[in-house]
Amino acid sequence: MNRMYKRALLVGALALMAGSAQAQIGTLSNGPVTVILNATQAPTLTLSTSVASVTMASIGANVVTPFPTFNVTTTWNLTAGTTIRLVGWFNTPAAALVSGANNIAAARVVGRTGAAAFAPFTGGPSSGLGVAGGTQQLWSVNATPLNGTATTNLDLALDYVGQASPNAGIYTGTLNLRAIVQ
Amino acid sequence: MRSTGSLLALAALALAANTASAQVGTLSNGPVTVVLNATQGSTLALSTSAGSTTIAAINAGTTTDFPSLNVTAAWNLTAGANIVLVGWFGTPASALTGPGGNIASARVLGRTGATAYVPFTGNAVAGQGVAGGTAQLWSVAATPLNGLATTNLDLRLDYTSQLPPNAGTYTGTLNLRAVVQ
Repeated sequence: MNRMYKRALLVGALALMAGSAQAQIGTLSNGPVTVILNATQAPTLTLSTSVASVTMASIGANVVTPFPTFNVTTTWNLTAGTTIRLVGWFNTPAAALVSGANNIAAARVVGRTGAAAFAPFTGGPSSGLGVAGGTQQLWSVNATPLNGTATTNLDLALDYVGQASPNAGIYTGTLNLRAIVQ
Repeated sequence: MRSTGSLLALAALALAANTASAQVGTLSNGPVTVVLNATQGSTLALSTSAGSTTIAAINAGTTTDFPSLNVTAAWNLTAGANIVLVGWFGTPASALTGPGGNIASARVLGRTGATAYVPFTGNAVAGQGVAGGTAQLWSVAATPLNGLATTNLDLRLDYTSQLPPNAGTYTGTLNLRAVVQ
């Protein structure tokens, strides 16, 4: 009788321990505790060209002499805007290209994108970009979707139609290009 | 008659003295016992050093880290081997949402200590979390059964070899819970 009693007590104790352990496993913390994550993707607008320089071997007199065509790519990720414009300009319109004391004016440099007509760099600033008398808006592309990319050809040429060729020399100049969202 | 009264009084006093003498050393029944019961319920508390964390600018093509924060678990248990920290996003496809779209939980990585970052793409752990949006972040021994542990929690966005999300500010909620195993 005493033995049976002890056995019953042991079984009871084991059952109690098992019940206690079972209650602990799976115990959850308060919460869930939350952490708010904030992240901002800033608007971006980048511009690149397929080449850093172009060269024409010989300027033709009384003709339009093209530079090799290159590509301009703009990539954007915006929160607003309808149009992306490409503006090109020479800082000193009277001396877009320089060879020593000799210059080629911006009026003699023409440009276009796509198959548009060539136009000289003789305009005023466009969208706040450029300088008076040395600027041209070259391209306009729809900004929708607001995260996109577009590439176009950029053709440049020297226009000496009806003009004498410049003085002999190697002329060098820098065309500035910038895109702007409008 | 008066003498008789005096004798009765003396007898009564003697009886009282006898009775008092018999009471000294007398024990009550018992001992009577009072059982005291008190329960300290098991506890497991989780807290973070910050309620929110912010990335000022998401890097395109690479990872961008949120400022690190600390997570503290405090426990008082009667059983259990490990305490596991589970983190999850309620909607994996849109862990963070913004005006320009969503950032999936697959783009959100987390780690504690100096372990490798893992994405929040797993299934529920120990019944916590949602399919495809969960990560087990930490496991700490539950011994002693009354303890406290703190770890760093590093979170990052991973746009490695990926286009960045659409421009905008994204917000999401990471759920954290500890569970005894």
